[in-house]
Amino acid sequence: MSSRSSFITSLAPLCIIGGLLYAALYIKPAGGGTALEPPVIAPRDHFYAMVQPAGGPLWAVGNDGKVVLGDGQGRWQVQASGTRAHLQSVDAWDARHALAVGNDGTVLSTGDGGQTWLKADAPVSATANKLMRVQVLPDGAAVAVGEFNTVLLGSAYGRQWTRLTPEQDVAWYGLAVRGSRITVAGEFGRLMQSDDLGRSWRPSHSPTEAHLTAVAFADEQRGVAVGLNGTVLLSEDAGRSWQAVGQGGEEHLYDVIWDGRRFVACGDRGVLLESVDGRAWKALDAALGDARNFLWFSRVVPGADGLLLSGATLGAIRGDRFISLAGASGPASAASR
Amino acid sequence: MLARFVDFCIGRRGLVVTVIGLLTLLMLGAASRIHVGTDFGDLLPRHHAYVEVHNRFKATYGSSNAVTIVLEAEQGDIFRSDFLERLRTVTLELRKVDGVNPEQIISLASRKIVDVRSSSDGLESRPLMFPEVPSDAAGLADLKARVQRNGLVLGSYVSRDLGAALVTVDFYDHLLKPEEAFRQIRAIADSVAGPGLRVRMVGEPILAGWVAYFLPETLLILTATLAVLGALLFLFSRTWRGTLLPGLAGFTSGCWALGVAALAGIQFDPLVIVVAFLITARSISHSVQLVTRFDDELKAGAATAREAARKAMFGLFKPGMLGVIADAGCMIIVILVPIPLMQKVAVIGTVWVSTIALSAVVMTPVLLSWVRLPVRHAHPINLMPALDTAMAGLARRLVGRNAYRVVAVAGVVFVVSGWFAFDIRIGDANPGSPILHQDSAYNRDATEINRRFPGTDRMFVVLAGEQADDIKRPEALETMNRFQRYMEAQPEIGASLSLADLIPVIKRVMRDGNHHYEEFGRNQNENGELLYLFSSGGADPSDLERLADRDFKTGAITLFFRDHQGDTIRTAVARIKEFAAANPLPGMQLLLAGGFAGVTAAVNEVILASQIESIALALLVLVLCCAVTYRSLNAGMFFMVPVILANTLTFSFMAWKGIGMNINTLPVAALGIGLGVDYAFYIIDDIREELRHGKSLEEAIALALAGAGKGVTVTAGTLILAVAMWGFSSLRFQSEMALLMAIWLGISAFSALVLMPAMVVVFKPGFVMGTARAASVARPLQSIQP
Repeated sequence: MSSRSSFITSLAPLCIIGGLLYAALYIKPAGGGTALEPPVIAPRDHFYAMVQPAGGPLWAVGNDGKVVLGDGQGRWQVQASGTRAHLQSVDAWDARHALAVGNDGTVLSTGDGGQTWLKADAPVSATANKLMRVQVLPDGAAVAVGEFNTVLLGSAYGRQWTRLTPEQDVAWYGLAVRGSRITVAGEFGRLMQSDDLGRSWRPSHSPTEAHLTAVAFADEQRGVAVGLNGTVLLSEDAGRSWQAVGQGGEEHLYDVIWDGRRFVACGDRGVLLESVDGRAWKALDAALGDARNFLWFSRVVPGADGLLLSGATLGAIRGDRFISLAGASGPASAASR
Repeated sequence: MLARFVDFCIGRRGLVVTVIGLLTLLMLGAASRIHVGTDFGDLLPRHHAYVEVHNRFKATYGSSNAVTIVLEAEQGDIFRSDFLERLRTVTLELRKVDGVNPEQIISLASRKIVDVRSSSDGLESRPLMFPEVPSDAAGLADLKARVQRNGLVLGSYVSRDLGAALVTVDFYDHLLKPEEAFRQIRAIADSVAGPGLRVRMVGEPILAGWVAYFLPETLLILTATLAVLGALLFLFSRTWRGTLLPGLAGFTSGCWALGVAALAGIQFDPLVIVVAFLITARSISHSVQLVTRFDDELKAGAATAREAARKAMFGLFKPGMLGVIADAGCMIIVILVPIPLMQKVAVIGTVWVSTIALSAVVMTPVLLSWVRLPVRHAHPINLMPALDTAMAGLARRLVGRNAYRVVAVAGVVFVVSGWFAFDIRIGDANPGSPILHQDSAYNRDATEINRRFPGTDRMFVVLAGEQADDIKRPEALETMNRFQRYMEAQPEIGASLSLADLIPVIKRVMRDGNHHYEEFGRNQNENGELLYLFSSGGADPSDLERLADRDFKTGAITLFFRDHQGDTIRTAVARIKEFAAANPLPGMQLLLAGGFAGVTAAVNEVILASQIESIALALLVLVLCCAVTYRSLNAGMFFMVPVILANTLTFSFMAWKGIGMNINTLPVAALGIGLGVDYAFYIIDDIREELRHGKSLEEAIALALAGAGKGVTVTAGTLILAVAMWGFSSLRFQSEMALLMAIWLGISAFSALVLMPAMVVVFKPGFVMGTARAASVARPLQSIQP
């Protein structure tokens, strides 16, 4: 063995040991794939509102600024809303133009089907500024209501807004616009109307102190308002006067609509009611079964094929059955079982 | 000097035996008092940032020893009074378990699970089902509805399908005696289980309890192993001395090691029994070498037993001590692993291995000197001729081209196994506990509970502010909420819980239960008011403790893991760090990580680096030993080969079988690093001695294999067969480790018998062949004879 190779083999063990020590200092177990796609519908998502413009996709908005676009078959994709504020309401003119409003005076609009949502600068109060409901009108106009006596009139598909009412300590939750008549409903049973698209307002007589959450009209005369603790009010004089109607339950009601042939109301504990005349109500929630205890719905809207429900989860009523649209996650899975 | 020592030992054999015997008896007395059990604190890496966070907050945010008990209704839901009564019984009885933290027993039946309702003066937090179970159908229906509406209870303490209820119980670490806790909890479970109700439970104390439960079986297998070992030794050696002396050597070493451990207050973890056996195996090997050499010396013409014993002791003292010192040196460096359990194991292991110097290298030849001649065989079955033939055949083939082939194959095996060794998984490689079989009751319980509930392995992350009330800041709560959403994207994380989940619920209740108001307060003050209302509404101040400390300076985010595989936890930790880096919050920081999954993350982080470092330092010890003994660094390189090969093969075997490197396998892997190199020492030293006597290389190899090689074959074969007994263990960990050990012994023996001689043929290293430089080290045996 030559002295040179002997020298090399003598150094080899030290090199190996040094290499291992170096490795011990710097080798860390690889940290697994960190690029995890969050589920489109997460268990903590609540969807306060949903809308399906004619022939278009479904938009649902909810807590923490979540906006999802769906095909009505349970496939959803998340859209970047640019906000973390809870979004309380959504409405759409068509498949491209839509509006969403929510906490912290947030007003978002899109003109490209939700590819981009732009924040509009709305004249909301600095004191309390949660916007609870928005409704679109023809020609890119819209109305939104919220806390601190906020009623806003929007134009240019929600890019510009003017305030119709002075700041006062009353929160409006419900909104119904028919032609140029606006009816709003709010806390402590308060209701008010304008016949000239918000230039002048008059209070309506209300028989209740309960917070009202929604109002809807079947025609020029007949309207229904619903609220907390199972409150249902009926008006047969275009909303000038209201009378309390019993519906047999005391769960909170969050929404009421006229779907063309009946009123439908929804609320806590899976309550789902229908009434043709607004006076006699019957439960529609047999479809929910046992799951009703942990389901609540804050919005019911007519969809392409049946009623759409949003709240604790996303779902639809098709025939007599409740179909979850939220995929396998969330409480809806228990409901569909 | 060595000669004088050998002469002294053999000459004063009575004195030597008496002294060692008495000391052994003393040690036996001490060893009998050793405490067998697991100290959970020992499993946590010292000074690791995660462990420091864990220790700071574990009293309130959850220790790593939480136990989860699930009561399952076999039919229907749990809302029947008989079921709920039994849930209540379990919840109450758990208070009596030793070491339990009574504030941390949480279930539907505990005072802590409350329903927050609005009342005339604000809020009322009323326990859902405390102190009494509703007695009538209306009460049960009301309870069911309230549970279903309570997002903090449904899914967490009552399964979503309403078919099972969960109880979590936590312990004071320093008071926890896992076997005792397991026995008591099991008794409670048995008292309520019955028709229609099944109880499942998981958690580290339960796992330790199962291990302890199998301890009698473990001891039985240990006994059986020793019996098989003795029988095989007897069969091979055909003499009582060939059977009893190695046994005595193993026994003496065990007494000393356990005695020292007991005196030093170190407890003996039952999972380390495998390591103990591994070391006992070494002392038996050494002893067998001496007995074999003794027989050979008699055959070679030693006149008396004394003479043969002296020659055997003198001849084998150097390789024997080299083996012992190298083994011990490789073990003591494990003390650098910053995990107390490993340090204790390292101390026990080092003491144990070191005692081989006395129990085998000294005692065996001394006792052999009393053997009466002529030697008679105890039974007629003689396997030695067959073995001799085999060894001779092996030696004949280990020349020329074959030697090169062996070295080439070994090189290929090294490269391939080295490649696969990188696939080894750090942490647990499979869901459930790797200690028990996949179909064990414990693992079935774990699977079932994790299917129904969001996950039993908890990790808490602390959001720490700088002053009181910092976590009431909206941006702090917002960050918690976003963090939870971010973490829950990982499928193995079933759920998470923090103050950011509670405050929106309080606000909703304050706003008449209107879901549109399930949100944080608008500012720090409003959040403070909401929390104040919650506490003043009847909730105990300690009810918030698992979410935040009393002055709201820090808050915990608890993540619930469905499994604790290495990859799961590593991914989670990487994501936590990623989130923290992307979302800095002025004045606050996110501290990793406590709870079982948190400390497991810490353990996993130190294991790999520690193991590589241990291997490196073990090799350094080996090289130093060889360099000193043979005055040649080449010798170090030479003896590194079997050690490195054994390690790469073992690693790749573990990777192949899905055995993760974790806190349980680490002792075996770390202490095993240097084991087995003594086989090579005996053979190479033998070859070297024969070359000194002027034999040719071929003759030297043949003689070495016939002498030391036979001893290696006998011990390796015997030990591998004996180790097979562990395959019957109910503890998967022990069967796997036994298999690992068998492989280890097999590789060591193969390296010593085939690879090392082949390497001598191929490389003709100076320290063996006897170049001028190396020749001075070893003096011929004859020169010291009287």
